[in-house]
Amino acid sequence: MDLRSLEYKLKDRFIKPGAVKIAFAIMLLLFPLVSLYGLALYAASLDKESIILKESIANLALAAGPLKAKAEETEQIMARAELENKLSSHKAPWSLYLQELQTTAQRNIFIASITFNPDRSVEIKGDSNTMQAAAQYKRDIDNLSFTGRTELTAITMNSDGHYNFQIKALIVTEKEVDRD
Amino acid sequence: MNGADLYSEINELLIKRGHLREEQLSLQSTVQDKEEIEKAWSILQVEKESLYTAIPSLDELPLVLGKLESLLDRHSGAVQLIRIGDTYFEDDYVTVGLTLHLADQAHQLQGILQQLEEFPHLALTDQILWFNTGGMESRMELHLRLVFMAPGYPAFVFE
Repeated sequence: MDLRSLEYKLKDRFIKPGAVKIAFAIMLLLFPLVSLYGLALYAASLDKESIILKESIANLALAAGPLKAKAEETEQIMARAELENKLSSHKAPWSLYLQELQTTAQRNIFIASITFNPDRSVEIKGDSNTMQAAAQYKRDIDNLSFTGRTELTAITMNSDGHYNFQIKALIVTEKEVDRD
Repeated sequence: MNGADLYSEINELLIKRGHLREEQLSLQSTVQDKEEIEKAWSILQVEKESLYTAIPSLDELPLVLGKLESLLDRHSGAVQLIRIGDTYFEDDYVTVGLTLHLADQAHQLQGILQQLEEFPHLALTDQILWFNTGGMESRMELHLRLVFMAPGYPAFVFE
């Protein structure tokens, strides 16, 4: 018996006609079922992973909760600190400035009004019996610690022989900042 | 359950897992920064009370006006006009305009001005007009703005 005839005999015995087609058909039928089973397993594993993640999150949340509250509070405080710093230019010891502008005036100076303006300037209106006294007052204002550039913006003699004057000075925190 | 249902369930689960992982990472990062967060928080606790008092939330307007009222009540003879208004909303803060007209002796007016400067809530000075009327009395007009945090910033409850 040669090998070729043995092969034919085996084929006849074990592989019936049409068996390949049947096997192929079975495979076609099983493939979607196997695929569905695989997908169902994947979905189940994702579901399980979600449960584990949720547990981990719950544990982390216990530790992170108070920390998050503290971080949020820190942000709130920082926001206020930054804002206070930003707006601090509007703050100044105005009452002290007002007092110094008044006490600096010599006896022959009458101050009618003092106006602190939003642009951090101060305008002083008044009158004096001499032009020299008005000019000296301007100089005295210029020498104050909180004033920058100072100008005698107007001086006018009125009908009673007195001089009306107007002085404008810049308010500075550092004396040197606005010095000419 | 058919294949389409399974696919859509898997997609949903994948999205959910993504969100959960993000949340987990965020929490992990918070926990990892524990030392830093606690350090920053404890440093700022010293300034907390003064800052929350200086710039309260807008909800605390009645409280602030109440304190202002108490301050001005001590000088009721000098107060000629109080006007609260002109609320301006900036990016992160709100200002409420305050105009005061006062008349009294010069040193009394300076005293009131000093007390307003020491007012614990931040009041920005826009303009101060002081007039010497020639007699014993002087007049003063104050244009101030009270500062509050924009709505949404929580108030601080002092224990």
